[in-house]
Amino acid sequence: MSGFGRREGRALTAVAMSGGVDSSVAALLLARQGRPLVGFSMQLVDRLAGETERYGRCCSPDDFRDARSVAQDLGFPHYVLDLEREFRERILVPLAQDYAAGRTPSPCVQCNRSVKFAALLARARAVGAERLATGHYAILERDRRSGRTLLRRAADEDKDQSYFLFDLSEAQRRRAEFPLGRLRKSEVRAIAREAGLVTAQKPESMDLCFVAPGESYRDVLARAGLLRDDAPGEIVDTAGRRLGRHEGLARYTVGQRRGLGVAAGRRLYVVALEPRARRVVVGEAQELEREGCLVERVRWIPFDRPGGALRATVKIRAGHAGVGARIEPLEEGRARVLFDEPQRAVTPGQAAVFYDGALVLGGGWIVGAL
Amino acid sequence: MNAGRDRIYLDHNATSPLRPEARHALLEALDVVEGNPSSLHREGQRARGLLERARERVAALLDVPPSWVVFTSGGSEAIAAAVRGVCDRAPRGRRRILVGAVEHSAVLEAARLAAQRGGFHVETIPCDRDGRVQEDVFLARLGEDVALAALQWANNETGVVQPVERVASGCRDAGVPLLVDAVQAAGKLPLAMRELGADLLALSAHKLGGPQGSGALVLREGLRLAPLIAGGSQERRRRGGTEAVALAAAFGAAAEAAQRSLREESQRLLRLRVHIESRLREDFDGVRIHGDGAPRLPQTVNFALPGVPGEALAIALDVEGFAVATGSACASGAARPSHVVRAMGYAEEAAREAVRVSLGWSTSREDVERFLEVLPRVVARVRQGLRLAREGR
Repeated sequence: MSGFGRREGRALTAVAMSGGVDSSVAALLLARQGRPLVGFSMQLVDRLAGETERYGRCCSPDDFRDARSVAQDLGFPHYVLDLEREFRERILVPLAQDYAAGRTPSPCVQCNRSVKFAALLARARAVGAERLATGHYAILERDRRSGRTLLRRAADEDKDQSYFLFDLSEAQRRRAEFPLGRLRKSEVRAIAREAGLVTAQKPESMDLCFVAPGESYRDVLARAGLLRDDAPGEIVDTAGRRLGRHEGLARYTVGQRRGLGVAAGRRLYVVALEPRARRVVVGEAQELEREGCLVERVRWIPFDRPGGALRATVKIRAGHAGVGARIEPLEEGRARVLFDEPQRAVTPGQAAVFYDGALVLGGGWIVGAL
Repeated sequence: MNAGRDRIYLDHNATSPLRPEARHALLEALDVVEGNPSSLHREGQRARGLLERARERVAALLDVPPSWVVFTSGGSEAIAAAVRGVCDRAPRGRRRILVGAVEHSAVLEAARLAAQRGGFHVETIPCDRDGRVQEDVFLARLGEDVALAALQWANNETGVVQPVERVASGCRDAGVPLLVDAVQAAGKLPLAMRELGADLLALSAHKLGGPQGSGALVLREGLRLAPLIAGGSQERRRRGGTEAVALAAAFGAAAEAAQRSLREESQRLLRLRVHIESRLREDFDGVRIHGDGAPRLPQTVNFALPGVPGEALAIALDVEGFAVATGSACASGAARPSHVVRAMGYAEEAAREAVRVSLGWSTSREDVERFLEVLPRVVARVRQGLRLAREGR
């Protein structure tokens, strides 16, 4: 037997395996380098799934079986870890609080920061793994001069997941590894097919991977006993005129058009949620547009903080195309983001992520529109 | 994973590797059995012969007549058949089920199911800090309205031996059928079922070096039981379906081998267990050995190192070539805080620290020495990894 957590003198690397094609190929690529690996799958909602087996799209027993079968084919051990408690405390509870407060949360960013590269990474470290690899599409690069670990957009723009990774700390980025960052999704699928991986044909896993098909996050929160009493209230227009009633703020998000239940003879959108007054404010498309936003808990990646205001391309939600903006750092980890052109649906609770070309400068959490 | 010389297997309470005698019997039976044991012809008779020989061997393990033995697919089926069978035939006035707090989930779930289906009320009898079910409480709860009592002979996680003798005699006096889950005790302790006076007893082949997929429900003479699987006259109408003759033959061979070597083996394993426990106490400050104040199986050590999650330690050991278990696991293999250790009065965090090392017929002194040699380094590694992760480094 060789040394601890090492074989052939090389450090052990942990691979987070969802049972999907991306993480399977990530593992395959590392295995082909001859790296000693240990695979982990996270059990996040097993007890919540209950006897009716309402598992999410990422973590059903079938997915665990697929992950294990890939690991077995590639010749490394695989373990399922029970992270339900951490997931509940760090993701589901804040999720419920966010919705109740009229924010639209971004749980994938939180999950990367406080579950995957925190609880899972810690367990990987405990068994002797030095790093944690995942199937994310993003690029990590060591900057020789600063010694910092830079985050870049993936080569495949359509699959780029750098948005979801902006909030990793330097210590987390240093321990992370994204083997797919420079590959296109089509190449990843081709690699999986050629290698005959059982996961080659599996469909994409999407946002909110813990929500079962045909269910909403509300069903999960309800089963977790976290759904607050969602008081009904009024739907008003921007002038304060009453247009109707709503069944609770958590059912609405800024920018939403469908399901408002008000007939006004014109297209109306949710332009704001007012948790104190329990009001949903609706307006026309142009009323959705905002000049900028205030963000908090700002994280900078290439530096601790910038010397002053800077220019960047800003994405205000995962699917946003990005807009040129001036970013003015403020006290206490806040920043003012001023868009070059007004943007629709600036949504509190979402992350605003700052880019300089492909380089992620950092990001922050939207408190409100300006 | 690569099983082989570089692996040391210390998880006999989960599955004890197939004994050579059982392997031999299995292969032989696979070759010999051509007919159905229920058939009248010579081929059938030969299969029947193997089956009955196996039944005798399993019966000998318990010192009961062979006719008491009903072959099943395993321990869980035996338990399910016992619980459902007794409850289905229970007189209307008997609607309480008593179970020990540290029973295997097969018992707890079968009882829960009976409660759901038939309006039974399940009462859990607590255990003490050592994991021994409180016999006085058990006896006090017995009564004319109790349909079934269930108490394991020995616990799968801690190896703690339960007060089955006194509970059995109490049950006899109260006229309450007693189910004894002897899955973990069989082959490790001398089990005289008739002397004990239990009415139903469950066995599993693979816990004593037989094949997976075989077990037995052993029933006292005269006990009436609704079959779990109907549809045939096999096993005296107590379990429908053609018997797994080859598996039963291997079970019988394993039972015989276990019984033949029981005395020497239990002493040999006890010496190893004592050795492990004294080294654990020397090497690790604050180590807890669960159930160390109670009589235990000679080959089970359930220990906890404060601040070291059992799951992390078991995985780290596995990566290093040692197979051990955490307290309990679900289907995916993910570690759960052990309900057994929780029932002993430990908090969830402490229950998550439990690690089980269980020895068996294939365990050598050298295996144990290698394990003890490596353990301190693996523990240090786990502690360091957790500390660095906590510090964000």
